[in-house]
Amino acid sequence: MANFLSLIQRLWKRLPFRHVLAATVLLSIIGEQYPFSNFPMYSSLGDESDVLYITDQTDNPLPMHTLFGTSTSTQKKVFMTELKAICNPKDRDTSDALPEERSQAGAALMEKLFPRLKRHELDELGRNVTALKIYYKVFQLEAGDIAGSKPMLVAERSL
Amino acid sequence: MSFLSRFGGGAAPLPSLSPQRLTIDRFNLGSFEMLIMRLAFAAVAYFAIKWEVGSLHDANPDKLTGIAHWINIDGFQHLEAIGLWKILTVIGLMIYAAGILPALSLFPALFFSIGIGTLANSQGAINHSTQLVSMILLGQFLVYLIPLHFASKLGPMSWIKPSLPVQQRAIYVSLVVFAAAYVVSGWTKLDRSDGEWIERVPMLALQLQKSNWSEYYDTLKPVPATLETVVSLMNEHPTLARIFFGGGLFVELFAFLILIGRRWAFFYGLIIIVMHMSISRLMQLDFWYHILVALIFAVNVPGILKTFRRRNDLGL
Repeated sequence: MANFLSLIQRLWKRLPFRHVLAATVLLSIIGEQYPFSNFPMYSSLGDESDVLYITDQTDNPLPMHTLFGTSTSTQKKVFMTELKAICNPKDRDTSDALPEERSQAGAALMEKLFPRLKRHELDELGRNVTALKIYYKVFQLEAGDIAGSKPMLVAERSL
Repeated sequence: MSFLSRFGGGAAPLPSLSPQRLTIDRFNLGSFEMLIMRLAFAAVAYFAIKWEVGSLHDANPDKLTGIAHWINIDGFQHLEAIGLWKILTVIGLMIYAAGILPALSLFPALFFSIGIGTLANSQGAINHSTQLVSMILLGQFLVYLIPLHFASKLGPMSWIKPSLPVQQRAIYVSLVVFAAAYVVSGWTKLDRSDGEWIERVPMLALQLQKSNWSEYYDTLKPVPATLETVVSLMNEHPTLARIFFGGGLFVELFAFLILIGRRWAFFYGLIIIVMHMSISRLMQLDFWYHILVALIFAVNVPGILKTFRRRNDLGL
C-alpha cells in the first residue's frame, strides 16, 4: 500500500500543470458556491433568449440601472427564480408558464424592486411617471432572423 | 531544448526541474514586480467588493450559495459604519501590499469579499464578475496562513514578513486560480452542450441580441448599430462564427499554458484581454476585474523587460 501511494505521489509530481488540473476539477465539482464557480455563462446556447425591462405608465422604457442600481439581466434572473419556484412544483417548465403565474412572479419581483427606486433619479428624468410596469420579452430565431415576442406585462404598480 | 521551454524563457527542458520546485521557479519573480502586483491587486480587490450593501435583500432560502448554506449572512445588508470597515480594509490591503503580516492584513478584504459576494449571489441571481478576485484572495490568504516552504524553517517571521519563495508561491497560486477559472469555463461549455458548443455557436446571436438590449434597458443608451451587422453575419456565415467564437473556447481550454513561463503568461494574458475586450464590444458585457487580473499577474507590466531578457537569473 505504501509503495502504491508512493507511486501515485511520484506520478502526480510528474504530471504537467497538475495544480491547474486539480483546481479545475475542484471548481467543476463544487460548481456555483461563492466564491467558487464553474463559470457557466453562455454554456447552454438555447433556441431563445429573453430580457426583462421596466417602463412608465405609457410603456416608455425607463433606465433600470439608473433608477434601481441593478441591472435588467440580474432582475430577469430573479424573475426566473420566482417563476421556477411557481412552475417547477407543478412539473412544468418556465417556458410553459401561464400568464397568471408570470404575473405572480412579476409581483414578487416588483415587491423586491420597488423599495430600491431612487426617487431623485426618477425626478431628474423630467418625465411625469405615475406608474411602473415590468415587461418580459423573448427573442427567437425564425428563418435566420431574430424575432422578438410581444412584450408580456408581468407587473404594474402606481407610484 | 523543447519549444515550450525555449518560448517559456528557458534554456533547459522543463522536466529537468526538480519535483520539489514549483513551476513558479520558472517565473523567477523579483521583489519589485511582486510589490507592484500586490499593490495593483489590492486596489482591484477593494473595488471588487460590492460595498453598496443597502441594495441587497435577505438571502433567498432556495438559492443559497457558499457559506450561506451554513451561516446566516443576511446581516451584511445592514452593515453599520461601513466607512470604518472600508478604512480597515484599505489599511489591511496597504499592509498586505507592503508584504507585512499578509494573512492578517488580507483578512478584512477576504471577509467582506466573500461575505458580501455570497449574499449578493444568494438573492436568486448569480453574477460572475467578482468570483475570480475572491478566489485569488482566498488562495493568497491560505498561502500566507500556511507559509511552509521546503527551503526554510517555519518561524514567527514566516507570518510577519514571508520570505521571497512564499511571496512567489502566493503569485503562483493566483496564476493557478486564474488559469483554472478559464479552463473550467471552457470545460463547462463542452459539458453542458454535450460537446456541441461550437456547433451551436450560431445560436449565440440570440445572446448577443439579449445582452445588447439588456444594456439598452439598463441605461437607455442606443443599441450599437453594429449589432444588426454582427447578428446578420453570424446567421449568414455560421462557419465563420464557429471559427471566431470557437477560438475563444480554445483560449479558455488551454489557459493552463500560462503556467509554462513568463513569456507564455505574457502573450496568453494579452490574448485573454483581447478576448474580453471583444466580448465587451460585441455583447456589452464587461469583465473588468478579469482583464485587470490578467494584466497584473499574467502580463506583469513591471516585469516585461525581465520577461524578454535572453536568460533570466535561474538560467531558465
